[in-house]
Amino acid sequence: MYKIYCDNRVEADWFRNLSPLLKSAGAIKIKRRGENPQVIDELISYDRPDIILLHDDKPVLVVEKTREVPTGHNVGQRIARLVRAIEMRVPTIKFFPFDAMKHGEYAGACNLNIRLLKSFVNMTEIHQTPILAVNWPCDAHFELIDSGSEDGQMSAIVHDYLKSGFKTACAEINKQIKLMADEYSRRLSNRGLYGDPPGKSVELLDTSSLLSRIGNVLSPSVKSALSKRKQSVLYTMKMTPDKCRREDPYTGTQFIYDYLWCRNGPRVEDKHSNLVLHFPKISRATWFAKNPNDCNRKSCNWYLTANVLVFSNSAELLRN
Amino acid sequence: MSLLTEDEVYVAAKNLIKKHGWTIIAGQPPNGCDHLPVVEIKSSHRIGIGSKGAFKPDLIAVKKGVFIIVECKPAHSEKDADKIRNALADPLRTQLLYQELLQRRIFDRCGIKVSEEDFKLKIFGALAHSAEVKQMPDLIVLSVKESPAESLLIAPTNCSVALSPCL
Repeated sequence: MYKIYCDNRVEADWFRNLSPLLKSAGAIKIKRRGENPQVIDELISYDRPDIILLHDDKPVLVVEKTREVPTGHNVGQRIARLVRAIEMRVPTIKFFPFDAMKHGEYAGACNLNIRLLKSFVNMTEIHQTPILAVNWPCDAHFELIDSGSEDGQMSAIVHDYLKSGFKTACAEINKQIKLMADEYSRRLSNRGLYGDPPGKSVELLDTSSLLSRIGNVLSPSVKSALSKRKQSVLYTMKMTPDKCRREDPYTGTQFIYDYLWCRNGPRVEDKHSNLVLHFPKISRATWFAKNPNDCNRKSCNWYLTANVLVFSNSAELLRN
Repeated sequence: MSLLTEDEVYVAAKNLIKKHGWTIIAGQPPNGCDHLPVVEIKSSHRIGIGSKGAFKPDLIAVKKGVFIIVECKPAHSEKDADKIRNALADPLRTQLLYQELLQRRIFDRCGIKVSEEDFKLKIFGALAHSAEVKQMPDLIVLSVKESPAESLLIAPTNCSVALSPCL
């Protein structure tokens, strides 16, 4: 028996219509942490996805749906909740436009930051669980299609996966993985810079160079922990003290960078390069006052994957 | 009487206005994503980047060249009523809404031909909720229930000549 856990009735109705196999699936609202079945609470421990599908009370699919194009730095928005799903080896789909018009005074077409596609490919390999990006298509004017035909690809994937008895290597999932790889290559050939880290905020460094750069605020134990890996990824966020109580998109983006340039295994400790989050304008005291590691707040997402947080005056070792 | 949740009111309001022959052209469910263009009614004090003072109507619908903007809540909300009244009473805000619908090609895509002048004269407000029915002098009330058969569209007491043929 299927159950659709959702945040919103509209999204549950949409999801139910993707496959005739879901026709009789009941919709249940996701409640606050601690008030749901244990498996739902575990899946929402980073953040709440739009849809969690249970079959006989086991999670079989997580879906996130948005009309926003993940451009630029906003690529990280909503990612932590999806990472949680694949960490639990639950197949996951993000349904969103790869291209769409941004309206307003500075209207123009926006395109997907393809680092997201590459990170999904890496996540899929590392967790042996598919995380798919499915395009919400747009028309020739970059307006999102909303005739119903836009759901075709989603519907094909969801139905085939359910019909196959939850085989993650079913034909439609394999087809989508290939499509994502092709889309990445095609877009990369047009904008090659997206194959590299975003220059201003992310640097791939020898750990020795990193230590000479920011070593003045690191204790001997932090230096020693970082020195265990020859390479480090330094992700610098120039938030100011009055605007540092925030998560999105940074906490999601850290996962994208982690899977692109650090990770080599399913546990967060499985990294070939250190992930260092750098807040040069924030003191340690301000940081912990504004962003505590409190599991009842989304700020706990800051502590999920990096090795070290580096502040203006000291550093915090999160894990070796 | 137990009230519907905000998203249940949204779904029921959509069904009710469709049943009455309206075409939904834009909107955004509370805390969610629907297959409708999301449109913002900007504040007349802040044009350009940013959304301060703006609001995104839950639904916008059209019938026979008449438009309604709908706000959904579990129970009657005077705050929402004022929000709609203030937006509709401000010619600059209705002009900005017209331009936004134009820019998003919503008129084109829905086959709607309307001048800015006509649009400003033929746009009205509606409140959707599931609480006790209270007829409004100037706004349509969408009284929605769990059972679609019990849902009602209630005209304003001072219904304008432009609106009445659509109700």
